[in-house]
Amino acid sequence: MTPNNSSQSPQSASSKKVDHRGSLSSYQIYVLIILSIIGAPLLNFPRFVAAEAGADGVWLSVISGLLVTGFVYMVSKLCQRFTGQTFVQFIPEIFETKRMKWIGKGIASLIIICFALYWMNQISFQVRLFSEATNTTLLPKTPIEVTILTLLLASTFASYSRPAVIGMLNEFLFPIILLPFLLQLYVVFKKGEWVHLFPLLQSDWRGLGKGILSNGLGFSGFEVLFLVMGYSQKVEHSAKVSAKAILTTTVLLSSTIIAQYLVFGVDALSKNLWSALDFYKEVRPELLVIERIEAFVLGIWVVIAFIAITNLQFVLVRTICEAFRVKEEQTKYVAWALLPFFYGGAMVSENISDFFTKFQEYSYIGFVFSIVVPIVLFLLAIIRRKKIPSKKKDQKGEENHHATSS
Amino acid sequence: MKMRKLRFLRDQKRKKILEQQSKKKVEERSENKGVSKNLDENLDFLKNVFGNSTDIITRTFAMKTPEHSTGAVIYIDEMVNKDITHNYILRPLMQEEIQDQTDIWKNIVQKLIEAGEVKEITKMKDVINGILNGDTIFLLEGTTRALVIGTKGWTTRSVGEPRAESVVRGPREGLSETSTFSLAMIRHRFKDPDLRIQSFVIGERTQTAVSLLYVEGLTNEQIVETARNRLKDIKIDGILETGYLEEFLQDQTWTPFPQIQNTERPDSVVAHLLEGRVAILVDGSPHALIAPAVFTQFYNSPEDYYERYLISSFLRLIRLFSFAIALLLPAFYIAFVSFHPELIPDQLSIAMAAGRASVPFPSIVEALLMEGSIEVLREASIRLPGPIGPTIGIVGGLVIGTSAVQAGLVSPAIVIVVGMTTISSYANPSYNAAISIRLLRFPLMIAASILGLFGIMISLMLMILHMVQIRSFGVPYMTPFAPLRWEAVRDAIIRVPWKYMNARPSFLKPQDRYRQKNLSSEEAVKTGRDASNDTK
Repeated sequence: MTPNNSSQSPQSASSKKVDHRGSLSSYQIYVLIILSIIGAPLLNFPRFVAAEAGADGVWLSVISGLLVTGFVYMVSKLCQRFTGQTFVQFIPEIFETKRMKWIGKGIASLIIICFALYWMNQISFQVRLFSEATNTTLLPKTPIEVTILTLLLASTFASYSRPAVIGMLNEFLFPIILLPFLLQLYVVFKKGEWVHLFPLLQSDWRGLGKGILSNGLGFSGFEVLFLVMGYSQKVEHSAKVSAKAILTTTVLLSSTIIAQYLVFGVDALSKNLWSALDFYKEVRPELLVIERIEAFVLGIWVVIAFIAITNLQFVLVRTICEAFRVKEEQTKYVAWALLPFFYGGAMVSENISDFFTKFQEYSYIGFVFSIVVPIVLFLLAIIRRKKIPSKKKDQKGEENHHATSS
Repeated sequence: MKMRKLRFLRDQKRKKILEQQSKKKVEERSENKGVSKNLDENLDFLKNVFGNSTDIITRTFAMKTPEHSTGAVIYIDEMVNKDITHNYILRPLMQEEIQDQTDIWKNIVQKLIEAGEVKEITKMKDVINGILNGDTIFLLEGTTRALVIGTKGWTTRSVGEPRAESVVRGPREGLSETSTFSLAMIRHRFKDPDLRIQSFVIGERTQTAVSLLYVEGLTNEQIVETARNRLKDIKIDGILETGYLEEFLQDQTWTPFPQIQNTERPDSVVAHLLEGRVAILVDGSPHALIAPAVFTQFYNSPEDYYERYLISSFLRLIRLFSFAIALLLPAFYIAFVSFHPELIPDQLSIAMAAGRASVPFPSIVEALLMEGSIEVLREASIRLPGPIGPTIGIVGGLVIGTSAVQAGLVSPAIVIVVGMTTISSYANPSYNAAISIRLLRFPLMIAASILGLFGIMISLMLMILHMVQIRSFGVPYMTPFAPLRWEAVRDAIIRVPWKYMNARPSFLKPQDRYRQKNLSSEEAVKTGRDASNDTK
């Protein structure tokens, strides 16, 4: 890292064509992947797992995590083949032929549109889910529209920041989001019962498959690496970094699922809409000034939801900007233009139960899509020997200097 | 209407004349005019430039040379050391005899002038600058040269204790308004020939001397270059304090957070130079600017490095806690009272509700009322003369608080909240950082009054987003946490023992990375040499 020179003010940086390659350090990518996955859905994800996978959800969460780790390792290898390029840039290259370049662009546009729609779905889902949780716990008299709009306004404002800023924001907030996970150990030691985990191995093969898939849904959000790998400083480390990120996420997700199984048992858990909040209600620490610990946890969950939504919005905005070659200073207009869509998506159904069902269906489709497409891309890239060799010098983006490298 | 137009035209005309006059003066001063052979012409020129100012003393005299050459000494009354001017310049020039008529000038420079700092000049611009800087000028009939004799000696404040940065353990000296004294204090502590002091003159009219300090071979060259360029780019009529420069040098203008640190302590300046930063001194100001500055720096006191590490670490944690209290406590009070009374223990909640029973305002009004009063009191106590100030602050706070509670305007809880907030904000060692926190408290209070805890958290997120966007001389403001720098973290929230702080902060990219050169390789790894491999 070399400190910037005088002319490098943020204002001046945005007015010219900015190369964001090399903006993110390996650690920032690691954190960004984790925080994009762990978002608001974790508020009721254990309930979803209990309902879908039953008693075996506990160990299937670990299996899913390991499978996703392997898969993400492969995706990172795919990204490594195209050093310094985001998926917007390398997908056309995989499909295009010398004579018909439009084929590559056409298929790429289709894939990118699908990813964009999937992310939009995820953003709306997370915003609604988290706002519902906030209104239930903290703001019972505030209209849901106000909570949704506040969250969206804040995340939209953050989403058009430069990649280096998003990386640093994630990096700064990461230790804070670990607090609820540490706190759940306390709850487990106070209220957890081993018998709630048993009996195991109750599902047939179909049930196991369903359990793995439902658990895998908890990892949606990993797709951000398609874009952020293009901003990586050290692409050669990216496969390891992303695999480590998924492993860490597996530990966090699985520990949450196991902790809630231990405290509630599978039957009670599958019927509890806000299992994560009720989980913390189980204990009332008399010595603390705050009496209801779940509200405090929800306070920290604002951070988790905010950063996850911001990351997804950031990825979506950057994808659109790269696809349409939008100038750096116009990125904010794209971000603000998308806001009504997220809001519309979040308010699509009045009834929260309908909303969840609808969005979870979309999420399944999106998740399967985000698994299948990279496999196809990876195989095609190998078969067609598509690759951009790593050029170390090219990695030195303008901003990484201060932002990340040591 | 007509009158207004006439007045406007008159004002315009007057403005134009003044502008022309001022331009003419500046041109006269800056033109490349050389010293004339004719002494009278030179003196007339100077008289014209200074506009017959009464403090300019011109002493013309005949020297004891075979041809009785005429000489003149010019200086500003009270800016020179009169003892030197009278006894070591004027007396020898007027009384000593020069026999050798062939080279009078050489004789004067080498034999007559008994002052240490003597410089020969040929331009009238330098003559003017010399006079204005408190030097004595010697002009001689028949020569195109002049002498600038160093006689600066105006009355200065004696070296005192830094008022805003007092410490229990540590030096008691503070920087002086005279930059040469300040530089001497720094040199006294930093006896390294690599310490570089580059001078600039900033201010078209004030001609203020500004010094840039850095350590060659240690400070990152790009930081030095940035500072140099930014200083050179400043075009202003006058610089009276470091605050003027700070706003020109900082990376981002629209932010409440200070991006350049200022200090009154020479030891602090040296400590920062040793870390790889640059310091900037301004003549006339007892403060030094330190850049680049990161957020955690504003919560560190010089004393942290003088006390034992455990005590320093404890004090730093206390300051961090105070920072959180000063920023968040009123907002949390509003959120708890207005939105989440169930979050606080029942008994406390009932007691608070009972206290608020007679208060006619919502909690935000109550809090703004008290916070506003305290801010006014705080400002008033600074302006009031010495002994009365603090008394008024304390008495005012107590009296107003108690009366407001008795009158039923505010609840007793808010008095405690505001009291704690005010005390906590004083725990911050840096005055300018404390002010920014005082400022940010109000938007947080408003956010809490609208959306409770959710509003506070969202506002905090936006604040953190803003903070990670800031840079100081290109260095991210939230370093060493974002981007993470482990070897610098050990001197951020806590302070590890000196033995383990071998590496200088890597985010400053110092050319000389380590402080302790004689460590064994095993120790070096433990104490931060491995940090160079840490890609985080």
